Amino acid sequence: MAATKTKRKPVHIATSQRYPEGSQIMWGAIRLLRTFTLHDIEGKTRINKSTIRTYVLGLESAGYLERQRPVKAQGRYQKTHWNLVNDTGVDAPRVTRDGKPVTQGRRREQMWRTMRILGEFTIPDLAINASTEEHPVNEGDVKHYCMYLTRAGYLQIVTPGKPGNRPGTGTRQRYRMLKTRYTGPQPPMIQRVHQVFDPNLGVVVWPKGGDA
Amino acid sequence: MTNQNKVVNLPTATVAPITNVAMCSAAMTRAIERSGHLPGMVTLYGPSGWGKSTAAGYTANKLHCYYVECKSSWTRKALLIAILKEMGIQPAKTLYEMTDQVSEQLVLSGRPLIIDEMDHIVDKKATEIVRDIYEGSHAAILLVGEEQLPSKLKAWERFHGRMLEWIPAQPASIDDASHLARLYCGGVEISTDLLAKVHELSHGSVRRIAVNLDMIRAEAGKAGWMGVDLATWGTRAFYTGEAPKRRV
Repeated sequence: MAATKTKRKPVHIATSQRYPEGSQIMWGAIRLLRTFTLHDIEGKTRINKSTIRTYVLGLESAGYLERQRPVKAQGRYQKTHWNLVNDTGVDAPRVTRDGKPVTQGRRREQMWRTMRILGEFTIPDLAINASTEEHPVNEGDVKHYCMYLTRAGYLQIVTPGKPGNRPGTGTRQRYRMLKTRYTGPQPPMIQRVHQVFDPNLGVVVWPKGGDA
Repeated sequence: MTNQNKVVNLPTATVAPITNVAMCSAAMTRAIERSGHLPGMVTLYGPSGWGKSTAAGYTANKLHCYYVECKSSWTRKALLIAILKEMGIQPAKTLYEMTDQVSEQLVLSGRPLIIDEMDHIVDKKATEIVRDIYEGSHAAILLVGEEQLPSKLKAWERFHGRMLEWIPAQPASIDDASHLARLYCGGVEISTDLLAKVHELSHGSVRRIAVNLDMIRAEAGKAGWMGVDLATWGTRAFYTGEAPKRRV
């Protein structure tokens, strides 16, 4: 039987295992070493080497890293070294394998930031305020996200929405963002298994005592 | 009224065309792209409800800024911890280390910083921290606060010279009101006379216009109006933000 392709692990497992995975971990190691080989990063992070290669090549194409000229010693080429040339701080650059920037997730980020700024809002309020021309946020997205964040205790329902007897006659649900529940800049994630994972805390916040 | 107000599911329904939002994001773009010898701080000031935070929020989303909102109880340490939390960095122990952490992240990431409700801390030493962060990073920084903010900043040395632009928030124009109607009352046509009335009673406050428009939308839904003008609205009350008058 052909070897099955290993799939990406769910985030709550990938970040909490003994050797956590993810581009953030690789980027941390790269920033620490500044000049490195793939092998060095593998030693530091214990992440699969081909995963590291994909990310490093992406970073190289995007101009974050520079490949050193190959050195020949004892008749053969030595391991390739990369230099970190564009250090953009703690947040790992999100790039595809050919170095294009990844914008997936910007909408959630915008919603999460805007909720905190607005404090109290209805679904259309948030959709309007969180939208930019490049990344418009639609009301369906907002509704879905707010539903899960309410379950996970980030939002509180101030006035429950009520359906009317005709379309457009109901009351809109009002939410309030609890300021003490702002855990950090990364928006909580809704996982495929229908859990809410908070990447700032690194834990599953809903359901309580879930699959963490 | 023409049907220009009846835009449902506008592909990019953003707050961008509102005067204050447009001014604020344009000024921040200039601050980010400024040439080396120019200062990099921008101040947006004006009365409450005029859409300053909306402008700051849109700018934060558009230009990928770090955003913090000050509270009146904040000390220097509280300010630094809040900014570091927003950056996702574990704060160091001392104030100067934290200031360095913030400055370093601003320099490396090239992302601007927005400090909302700046007037809460403008009388305190925390203001010096903002200056230190600017000196350490020369990043574009947007300060947002009430009307008195520029004069209060005057009390601090070396603040005025670092300001690229002072932006006084503008009262909402009739164009802003009609854009808000498009955003909040899609599906209900609001006539020019009613919109003008709302605009007049709101005294330049974007917030009050939005509240009034939402009332109109709700009322129109109940009554089943497709369009509303001043005559249809009749003697129904508007939200003016004033305390109710006593009728004895």
